[in-house]
Amino acid sequence: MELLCIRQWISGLLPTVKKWLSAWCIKPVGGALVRQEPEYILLALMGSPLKKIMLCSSEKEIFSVEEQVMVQHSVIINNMIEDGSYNHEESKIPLDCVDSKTLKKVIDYCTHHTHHHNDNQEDLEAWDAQFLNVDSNGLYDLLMAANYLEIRNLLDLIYGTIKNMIKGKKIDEIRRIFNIKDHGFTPEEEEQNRKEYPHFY
Amino acid sequence: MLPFELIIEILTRLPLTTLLRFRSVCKSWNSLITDPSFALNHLHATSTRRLIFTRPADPYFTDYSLSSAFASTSAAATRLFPSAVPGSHFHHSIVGSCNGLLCLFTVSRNLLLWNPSTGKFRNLPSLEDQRFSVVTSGFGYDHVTHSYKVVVVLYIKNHEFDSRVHTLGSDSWRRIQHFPLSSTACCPGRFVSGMLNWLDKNRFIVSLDLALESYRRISLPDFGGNNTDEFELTLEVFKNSLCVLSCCSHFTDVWIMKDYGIAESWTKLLCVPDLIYYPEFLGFDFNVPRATRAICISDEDDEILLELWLDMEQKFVVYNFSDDSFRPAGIEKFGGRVASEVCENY
Repeated sequence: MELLCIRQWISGLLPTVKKWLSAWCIKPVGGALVRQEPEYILLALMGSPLKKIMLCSSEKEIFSVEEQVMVQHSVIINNMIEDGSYNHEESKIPLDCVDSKTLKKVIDYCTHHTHHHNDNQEDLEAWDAQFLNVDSNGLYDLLMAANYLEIRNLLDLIYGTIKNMIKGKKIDEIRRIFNIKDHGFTPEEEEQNRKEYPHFY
Repeated sequence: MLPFELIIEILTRLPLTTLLRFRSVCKSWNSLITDPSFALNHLHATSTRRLIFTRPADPYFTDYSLSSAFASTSAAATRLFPSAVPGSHFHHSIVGSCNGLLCLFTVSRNLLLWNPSTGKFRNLPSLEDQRFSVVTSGFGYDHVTHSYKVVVVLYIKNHEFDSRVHTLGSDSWRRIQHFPLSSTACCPGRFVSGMLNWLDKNRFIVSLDLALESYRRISLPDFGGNNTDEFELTLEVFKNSLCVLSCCSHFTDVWIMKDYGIAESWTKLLCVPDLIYYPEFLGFDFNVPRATRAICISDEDDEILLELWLDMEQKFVVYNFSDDSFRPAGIEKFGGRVASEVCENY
């Protein structure tokens, strides 16, 4: 069936059926509740291929991903689709601050969590743990990407990991981790700090 | 490397002790961590509620985290804060707590502000007029001027009560409107939503707006036609709202004022039944314990911590109001009085 016909048919549905579908189709998007287009849910039910969207990394590589997946997780992408600035047939969403490697990982995360959201907590946590088993540069890239795309649950996960990573570290290690070359204290202040709290350094 | 806004997000999630340590990482982190608005954000994001107990003639405070207080086994870790405050040999009374700061009244009629998390304290300027006795006091935060204020009420003469206010950062006490209580109040004012509240024996609430520095009356809930003279009323603050507890021999009702200042918004939150129905709590002499004080409500919103006296012994119990059951709390008896609930702050 042609997509346009389906859409027309659905628009012609009784308003109550549509309303029922809309009420049913609320999905969480990173903490907020967002209505999904009932048309797409119905399409999925009818076995039509799920709508895909194109994401373009900073290296101009195109990634095709299910719309539902990204819409559920990324507030930014959800807003773009909701306000109609994204045209399904033509455009791709340019993400100039996310490189291909990171974008692939982000898509991985969102896809897994959409398809496996009914899994039990332990399995999800185990998957998350191995997902974040990256070096610190990779972690920061993920953090920036998740922040840019506003993916709340990924952000919380990364912040939690970072918190556990740095909680017990000494001051010198923290400076190394965060690449703080110049701490800005005067030599006297720095010496004072080291004298007062030698076990911190 | 990382944009500063993300660094802020990371730091906001760190526990207090780590944050204090990280002031030495670099100058910009130092200024961020010591910034008062960051401190308040951190407080609201990650604060753990703690209970602080005080005991007469004991300069030390005992503190419990809320989760260990609500635990069913006796809390193993109770930290004793040495109140390293000079001149504080004996018992202090707690005026109030706000944003993790405690305001204390020492024996020598001096007031001081103390931060239990960092140990820092500040003496307030002394109250002159030693001839007048202090009737009540209160401590709170004024959202409008972003300052902490302490209020002291002095008894001048018959039916005349003077109110003095001190704003932290200034160096004196100011007189404001007379305290409109018809009878003396003994408990310190309860702070909620920018207002300090006292209970008048004539069954209404006196509320002081810290920003406007003026008093007004708020009526109590309609207790439903029961003979309210038999009830013992106390004011508490739970879940950031003002609550009134009415105790009679059979039960204690907790009423919460959902919208501050609007008397119609008084709602009965829960009813704590008398422990006579729970024989496991009766003492060997079958004396029935009376719940003397409700301390706080758990974070999960289904349990309330109560202090009661049984056979001259202090006990802490937790009443779960979703399944209507009592159990012992994780606080050992120690003969002290509950001071206040405090959040960690710095």
